[in-house]
Amino acid sequence: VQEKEQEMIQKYLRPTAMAEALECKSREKEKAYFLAGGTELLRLNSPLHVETAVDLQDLDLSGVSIAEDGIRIGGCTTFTELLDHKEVPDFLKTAVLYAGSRTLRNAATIAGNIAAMRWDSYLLPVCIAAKVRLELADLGDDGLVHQESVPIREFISHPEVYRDSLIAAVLHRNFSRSVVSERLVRSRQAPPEFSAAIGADIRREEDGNCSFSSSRVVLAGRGIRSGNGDVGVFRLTGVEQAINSGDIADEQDLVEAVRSEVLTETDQFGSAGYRRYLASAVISDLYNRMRTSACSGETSGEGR
Amino acid sequence: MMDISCTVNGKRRSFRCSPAETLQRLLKRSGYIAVRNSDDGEGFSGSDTILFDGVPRCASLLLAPQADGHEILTPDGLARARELTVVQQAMVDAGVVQSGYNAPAAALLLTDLLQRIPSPTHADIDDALSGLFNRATGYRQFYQAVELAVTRRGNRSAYAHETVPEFREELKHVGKVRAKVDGRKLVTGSRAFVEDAAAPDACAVYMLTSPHAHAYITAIDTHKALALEGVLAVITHENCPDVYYGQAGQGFPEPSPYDRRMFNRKVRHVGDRVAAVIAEDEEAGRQALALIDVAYEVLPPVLSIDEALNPGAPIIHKSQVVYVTGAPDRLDSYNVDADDRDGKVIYQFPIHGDPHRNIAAAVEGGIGNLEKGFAEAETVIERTYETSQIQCTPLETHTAYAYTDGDRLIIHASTQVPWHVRRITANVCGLSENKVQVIKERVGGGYGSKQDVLLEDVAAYAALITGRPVFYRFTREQEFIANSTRHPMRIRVKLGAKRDGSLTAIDMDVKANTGPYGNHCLTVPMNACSKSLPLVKCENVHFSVTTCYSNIPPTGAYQGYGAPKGNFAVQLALAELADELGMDQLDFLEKNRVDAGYTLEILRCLGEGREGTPAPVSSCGLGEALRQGAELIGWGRHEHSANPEVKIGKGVVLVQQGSGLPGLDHSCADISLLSDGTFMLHSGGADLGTGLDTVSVKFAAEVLNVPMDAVSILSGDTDNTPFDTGAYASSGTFFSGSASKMAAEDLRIQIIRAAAALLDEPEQNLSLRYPGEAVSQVSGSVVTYRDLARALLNGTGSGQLTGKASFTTEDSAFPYGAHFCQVAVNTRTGQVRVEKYAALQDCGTPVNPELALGQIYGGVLKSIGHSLYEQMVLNDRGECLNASLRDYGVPMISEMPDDFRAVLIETDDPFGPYGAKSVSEISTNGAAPVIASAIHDAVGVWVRDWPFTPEKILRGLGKID
Repeated sequence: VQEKEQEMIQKYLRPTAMAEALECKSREKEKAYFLAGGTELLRLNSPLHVETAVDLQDLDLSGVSIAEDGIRIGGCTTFTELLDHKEVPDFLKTAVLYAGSRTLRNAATIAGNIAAMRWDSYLLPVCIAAKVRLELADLGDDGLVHQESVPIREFISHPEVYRDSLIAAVLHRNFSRSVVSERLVRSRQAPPEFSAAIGADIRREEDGNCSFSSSRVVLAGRGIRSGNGDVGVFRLTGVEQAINSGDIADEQDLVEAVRSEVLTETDQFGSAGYRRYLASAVISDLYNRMRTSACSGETSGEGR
Repeated sequence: MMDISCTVNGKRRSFRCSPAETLQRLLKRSGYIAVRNSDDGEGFSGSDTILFDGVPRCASLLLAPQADGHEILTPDGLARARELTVVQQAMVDAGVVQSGYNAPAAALLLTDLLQRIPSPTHADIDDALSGLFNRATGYRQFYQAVELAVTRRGNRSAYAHETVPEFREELKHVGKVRAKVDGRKLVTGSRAFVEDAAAPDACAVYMLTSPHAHAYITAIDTHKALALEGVLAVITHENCPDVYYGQAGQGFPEPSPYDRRMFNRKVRHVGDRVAAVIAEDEEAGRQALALIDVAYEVLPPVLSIDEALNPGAPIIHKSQVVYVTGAPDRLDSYNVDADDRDGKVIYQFPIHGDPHRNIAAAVEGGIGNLEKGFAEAETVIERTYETSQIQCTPLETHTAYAYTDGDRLIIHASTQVPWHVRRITANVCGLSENKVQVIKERVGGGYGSKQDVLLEDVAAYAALITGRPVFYRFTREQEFIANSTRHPMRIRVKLGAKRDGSLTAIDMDVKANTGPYGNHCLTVPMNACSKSLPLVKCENVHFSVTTCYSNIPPTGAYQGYGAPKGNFAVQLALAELADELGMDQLDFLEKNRVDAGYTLEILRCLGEGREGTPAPVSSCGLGEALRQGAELIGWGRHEHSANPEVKIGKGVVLVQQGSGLPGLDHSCADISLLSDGTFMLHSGGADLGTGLDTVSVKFAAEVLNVPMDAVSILSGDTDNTPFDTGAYASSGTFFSGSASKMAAEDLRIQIIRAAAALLDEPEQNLSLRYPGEAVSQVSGSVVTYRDLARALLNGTGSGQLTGKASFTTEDSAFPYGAHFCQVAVNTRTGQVRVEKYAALQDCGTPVNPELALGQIYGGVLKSIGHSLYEQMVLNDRGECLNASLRDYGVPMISEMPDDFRAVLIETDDPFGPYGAKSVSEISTNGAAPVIASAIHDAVGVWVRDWPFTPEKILRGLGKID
């Protein structure tokens, strides 16, 4: 009596092939969702109104493989499998461990966490910072499966375009890229006060200085948004430009860059001032951490 | 519907399920009862853990059809027959099985761990249990359980308790590590809880609750809901019993006012009851809720103490005020402006309430001459502290199951107070008490909140009017909006001291927020004074208490009662005074603390709703606790972090509690000699997982000189066990335990008398000898209990021997303790980490040492949670914005201090049974002040309100405005 039921779900489908899965999703339209680990789709108070669950368990979408051009992580690879695989980059393992419960990690999948696109996502900030690409599968008009590799920023920016797509895999090709992240929480499994990640291609110059390019500065938190009005997990493009152009001479420059681009508000969970301070402090610390490790010739950040 | 088949616990099974059904629900309804739901399927608490193809998963986060073709192991599939697995036995022996709701899941997770990693480290154990919430015992003793299991895999008979100290060498059971008597039942996931007793075809209660914090119901139409097939009844304020009562399960006559009916025309908090649908199935119940039309006249909500006490504030209870005794003069004129829609507030006796000014209760008192005390002081400080509303979060939410049996009403309850449940539900239902039976099942966590009668009244009345069995369980969300919580308080403390540190005066003003109803509205805030002020010697003390009504979610009893709040204020004020005086905090406490023999005069004015009496400190382990604690924490040694942003600090505080309520509590027990020489003990005591039944059995076995296995116990059943006021106010061991001991002593006298007659010897020649015989010290003649019983029950004997006891006392036995901690404060982010925590507690003779340690660990971790993480966030409409365990922020194993130690300081209390005092509640009284004190030591910031968030730290450091 009064045990939980996923009230909205009317239909459960378990395709055995990619084409069938995509066809199911296409047929059932927007109220059909792919079901992998279930930690996002079936979570308490999920914003998704699922009427049809398309279970992916019979598709071969798990596993990590290494190719010359990078690492390919199957979309249904669980967090636990990511931790256990020696080739998975450290920055990703660090983010996986933000999910404090092993039991949840046994279920949660990399694609599921990305696809949910939640503000408190464990993996989204680092995946954006790392500039991973997503291998998306779609059903073409010809009824055949088409796969394309899409930058994660595209996927995030245009969810309506990729609504029926299936994340078959996550691709990470730039092994030399530095990626660091932070997730500030009151207790380990509580929602974060703040999540942030920075990724960059760092080159050590002959004079000992370092130059940054293709930076990604990613932020997420309750009560914060970008100057452009972005909420959820968003990029600070102005800060990225400042980093890339070498305009950050000291911490104060970075603090001001962040403050000029982050809007914060006061609510019952915290004040605008606190969030403003924290955004600057965390981004500064991450930048310094990455700079220090990369420029000292150590393995760059938490990347490989 | 779909058909699936899978392997469950090694057997092939087929099921029919809907696409929407979760695997947890399917398994539970299919008889795998240990796959439970304690978090609304959040996938947080771990009660729904299964091994899915050998991997731990949350069954609530799997759809049942996903299981088709898979292999499942449930927690109740671990043990074979009566044989516990090595892991399960190790858990029982290590003391981690207390309330036990999540014990089967823990056993499953640890079994999986040991299969993956034969010799796990603490980090491995942390990782394995990271998805398990354990409110009762903290997590520290899981390390010992794993260590024991690892050892025993090679040597099954390895000693159970090398890491747990034992006490009282001269006693066989008391002070020794023995398996908790209900440990096997709980760890294996057997039927133990109310939900396991409910018939599969029981109807259920679906509660429509108020979306408004403060409103009148101007119209309610239930016709459409009642017309729905499967709906048996709808109860509202229009057809509920016209009976006023309170939900606080306190001794009658209660100090808490009767200020509510089952349903009221006025709703006073978001989540307040509006209508109860009694339905045969969930679909009908939910549909019916949607078909009830309610019109409200919304009133402005009152949320804070200041708002409530503000002249002109909206009045929460503009009610007819009634006094059963002691009505004040001019009550008629007071009631002239009462609004009938607000109903009544009935006081059993005056507690200085003034509901028309939002004051539920008030009291003040003191000793000595405060003015003179402050005049003598050379240093005076005055500080104000605030505590927040805290949820008890028992894993088993509030649950009741009721049905009729002829003209009687039977209630299975998860309660700490079976007799209060009987009295209150009988009153509400218009029955006499002989028509009601309350059976306390195992309690999957109470912590005070199950001292209150939160849903038994509705379940009982629903069963009565429908004639059908009725089950009612709070969801986790309902638990957040309708359960009793810690009263938020604002406490001003003024202290005066001489330059040498001697206290000359203490003034304490407590303002408490009781929320919508007056549960414990007098006694919790008074307890804030009575369990904090008597820790120090001071001749001039004054206190005042004012409790206000408001529209926040309900408050009530929570482990520690008022003490965690009062002690936070007083101990932190003492730390601030020591700092002001330039004295070492430990030296300052040593100088002012009480010790054995000191008379606590202040208790004269701190009786719970009656006149109090001064009491002597009969035993006190404070000195030893301070000495050992200082060594453990390295007091006086300054620590440094490798990270320059991180500062380390240390703190120390004193704690105390009581052992029940002398003069108010009452416990009874009886014990009978059975025909084979074993014993059946009936105790009124309500074991809420703490090990009270084990205490009672130990006492009886000790008195009668038999193995514990020769004594079985039935407790907390109003038909079949004698009266007990209940398990609250730390009364279990002292009151209920004493009753069991005295009943056994009564029986012992009878055994000796009967044996003397049988052996034809004078009684004085006989004594009782282990493992169960009476022996003559003169002739050497012996009669076993078995032979004696048979002689008594053979048709010619004098009949069954039964010892009885009724225990009351005016004597007090105060447990004491000292808590030390070391924190690391990140000055960059404001984050605080408790690195070390040492809780040294004097509970007299620790009767169950392993369980006592577990209660200390559990109490401390709860209060670390209250101090640092937990917070009910309400918006300005009184809605709780974080009504789930994850969002609310309960501490998990990852929040456990890195170095966490509980130490039992033995004393022999002259009034306690075998020298025992209480242990559980006191454990929650230290963390808040000691962490706050350590934060100050680290970074020079006094944080004076709960929780100590990073934002408050940063503000204190001047890093944000």
